[in-house]
Amino acid sequence: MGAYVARRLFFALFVLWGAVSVIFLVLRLVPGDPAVVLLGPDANPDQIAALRARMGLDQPIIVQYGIYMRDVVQLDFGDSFRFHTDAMDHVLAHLPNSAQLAVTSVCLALLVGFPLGIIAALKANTVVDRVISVFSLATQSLPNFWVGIVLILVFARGLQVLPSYGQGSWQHLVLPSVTLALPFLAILVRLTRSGLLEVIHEGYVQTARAKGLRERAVIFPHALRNALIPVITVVGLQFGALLGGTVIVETVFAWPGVGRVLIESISHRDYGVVQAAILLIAAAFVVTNLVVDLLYGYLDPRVRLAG
Amino acid sequence: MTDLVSDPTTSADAGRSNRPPRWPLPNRFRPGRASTPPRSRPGAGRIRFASAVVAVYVLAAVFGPRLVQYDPVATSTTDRLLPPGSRLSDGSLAVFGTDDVGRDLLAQIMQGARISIAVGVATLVLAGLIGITIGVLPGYFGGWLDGALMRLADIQLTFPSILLAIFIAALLGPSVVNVVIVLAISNWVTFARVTRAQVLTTKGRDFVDATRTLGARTWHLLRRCILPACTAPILVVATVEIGSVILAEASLSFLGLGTPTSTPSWGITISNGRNYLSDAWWISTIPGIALAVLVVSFGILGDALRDRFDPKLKNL
Amino acid sequence: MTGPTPHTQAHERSAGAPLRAAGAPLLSVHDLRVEFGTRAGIIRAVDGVSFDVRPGETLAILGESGSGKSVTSQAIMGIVPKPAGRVTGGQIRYRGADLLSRPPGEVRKLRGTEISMVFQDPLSSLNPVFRIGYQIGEMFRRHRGYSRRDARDAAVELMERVGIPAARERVDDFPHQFSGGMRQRIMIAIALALDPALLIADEPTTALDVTVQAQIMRLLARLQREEGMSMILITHDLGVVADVADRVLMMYAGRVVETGDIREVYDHSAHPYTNGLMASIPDLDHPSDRLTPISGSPPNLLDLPSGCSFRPRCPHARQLCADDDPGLYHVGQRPVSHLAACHFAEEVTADVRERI
Repeated sequence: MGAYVARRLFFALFVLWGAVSVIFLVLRLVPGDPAVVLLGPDANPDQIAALRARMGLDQPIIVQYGIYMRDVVQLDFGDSFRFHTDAMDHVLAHLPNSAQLAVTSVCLALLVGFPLGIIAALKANTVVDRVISVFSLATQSLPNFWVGIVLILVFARGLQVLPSYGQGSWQHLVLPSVTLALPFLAILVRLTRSGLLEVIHEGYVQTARAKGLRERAVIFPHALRNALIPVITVVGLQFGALLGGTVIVETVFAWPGVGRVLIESISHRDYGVVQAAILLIAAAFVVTNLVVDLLYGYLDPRVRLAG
Repeated sequence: MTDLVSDPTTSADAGRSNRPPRWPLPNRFRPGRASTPPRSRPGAGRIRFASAVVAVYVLAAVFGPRLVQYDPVATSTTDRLLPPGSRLSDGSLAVFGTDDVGRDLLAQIMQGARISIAVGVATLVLAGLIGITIGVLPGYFGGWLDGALMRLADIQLTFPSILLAIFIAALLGPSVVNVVIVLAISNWVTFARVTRAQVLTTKGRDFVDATRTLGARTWHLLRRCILPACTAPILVVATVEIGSVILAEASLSFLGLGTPTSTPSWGITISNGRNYLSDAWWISTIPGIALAVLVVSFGILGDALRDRFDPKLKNL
Repeated sequence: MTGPTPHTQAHERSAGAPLRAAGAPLLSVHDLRVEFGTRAGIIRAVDGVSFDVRPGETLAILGESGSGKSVTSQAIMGIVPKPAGRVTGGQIRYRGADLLSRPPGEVRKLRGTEISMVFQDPLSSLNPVFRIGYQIGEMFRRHRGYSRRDARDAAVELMERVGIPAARERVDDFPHQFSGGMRQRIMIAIALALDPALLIADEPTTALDVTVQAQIMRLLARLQREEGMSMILITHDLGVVADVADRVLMMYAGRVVETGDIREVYDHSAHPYTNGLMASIPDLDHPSDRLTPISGSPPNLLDLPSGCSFRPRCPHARQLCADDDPGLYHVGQRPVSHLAACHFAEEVTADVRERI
């Protein structure tokens, strides 16, 4: 297990390093002076000259990269020219709000998605299954910004039972978290269903039946645990889509999280904050993927013991 | 093509397991092409239905703007925020109502279809060219370049693609061309992986070895043996991807990072409508429905094609 | 049941097994029919199969893939794959009670406790993500209500009994950490955990190395002797059968084509299919002899020939074989327990005698 954890940890760091490098690369590839881009439209020539010197823009690209990596390791993304505070601090201040939204959505999706998927598989090719499948196909492809707007129209404007935007009570959390959870939930349903149907004909399921176990004891430990292994990997990848979704959902519901900070900073061309926000979301994603990988190792002894 | 659909039991019924059931019948007892061909091939109904919907959108995108005039800069204060089914001041019928400056919503949606489909196709062509090249060449020749590119693909896959798109779009600024570039960059990986996997399996097949033994050049092998085998999976991937590309374009535009605010793309229209939710629900909802139906249709089409041609792509 | 079948009567009068003739059969299958729905049509995988298994005896069911032997065993266990497969007729009487007319919950309780099964491929039959101790112990926990610790101890004890070395250290290992032969021993341990009266072994050695096959067969024979179990051994390997089986049942295209005591059928085979199988075994006494394969290919169950299913491959086939489907009947001048489904059974046995 130790070797497996070490390998996953190393890969996570590798991906994070890749993300940082991509940001560096994109900033250099985009036309224009990175210092001018980072400082925003209102910067005066002295500030630009100072930043150019600090970033080492007159030096070879490899030196620039070194300086950049040094800053990243120290979580130094410069200051936000709008708020005149440290960019990373500004983003971190909004992290708890995003975390609250994301965690609520994931819990919601897991609590509803797994049971629905299991039901659909056990009732495969019946009316129940068809209804669940159509529901999940539709919700998977619905644009979540539009779903958010429709939910606002129905529950906030029409029925007037829930607040449409902002943050405060638990009611404020309902609409954004449902919006964010829906596509994730849909994927969970589909994967759980197909995963279960795939293993139901496996030999060990037949063995479990031959052992005289109750149907529940056949499905839950024996079939489900094997069915979940492939589901877990895709869930990890889909978590990225969910984090991307927070950007949109936070914008629709004016939820004061990292995603909204990102979009606002983009429209004000506050690129220090943009970099910090992007890296923070990427880091959150890498960390959750690491957790998923470890979970995968826990569920599948063949992976864990491979070395 | 035939070897992709060789065993009807593996591509059987929609969502059912792809594995043949575990009863002890050898292959020849399974229904095969030789004895009695199955009446309808799997997913035929779904394919027909979804293609029909997509065809309607394409027709609307191509001919719609000629039938219903749309002037992006026209404003008509008397026709502002009219509900669906209203008569405009010039006597024409606004089936879907009008927006905040009095422009006909139906005309706007058909323009939006034009943009969405154009962006979707252009992105797929670009992403496909990048992805297939990167998939075929290193996949076929192997070596360090192959390893490096696949690691790059791994990193990009473990990185939320919408985030990459947002970052690049934020730096490039809103424009249709930039959207295509951004989305192509964040979508090439799937093409590369699928192509590479297909190349690697095809490369080892006997008929390829046989052709090579007969003295065929590499270029001939690639063009006549390897690439044809990749066609079906690539088409399936393209269908599955086009829905998500169109969705990503709308999302970026909604956030103000996609097409410029002057273009009538669906994302922009929906975003505009947000300011009038209390007075004019239709401005945001109807383009959203148009978008959703198109994306769902591509989803159904992609699923059905995959079930039919290549069940092993299931987890993409 | 509507009275004993002709062939059970025949068997009761059999002189070949005087010790076992006293008791009633443990398992009595009568006119079993199983169908599979496929996209191309309905397949009759098992078509009117009848046989008995007596306490303590070993019945071998022989036949090639697709002959219906495995489906027969699945039907006895009540685990025919659904929804494709369906038992459409017949009776499976266990200790006199028809399993097919019992509620599924009641039949389930017999599985593992009274009737157990060992499958062909031990790797796919063991759950890859659970520890061996858990999978063996599950029998004690679910059927007998043992605690986790007691179940684990019982599992270790069983592992020792089936000859797994260092059982106590290996009880927490996973299936992929064992060799093929060891995995099959684990499967056998699971099957025998609750001392069943009947063990169905479905090609238990086919997936194993040749060197291990004999070990597993010896283990099965030893355990059977110790427990006094009955066993149904399903196989396509005539060599395996000769050493362990008391009686044999030959299946072809979902039907029984020949049955009788093992020596009787081996020495005086009365069906051309059995004959053909015998001719295709290498003979160690005359290794230079050429093997004679059965001509033609296995039958297409979707499109069986009229009359006798074996007709297209049979050297004895005549017009009668196409017109009339031969039932299973007593082979003239042979012991009454010897039945065959061939119009020319006597001719075939005569042939065999000539050959010898």
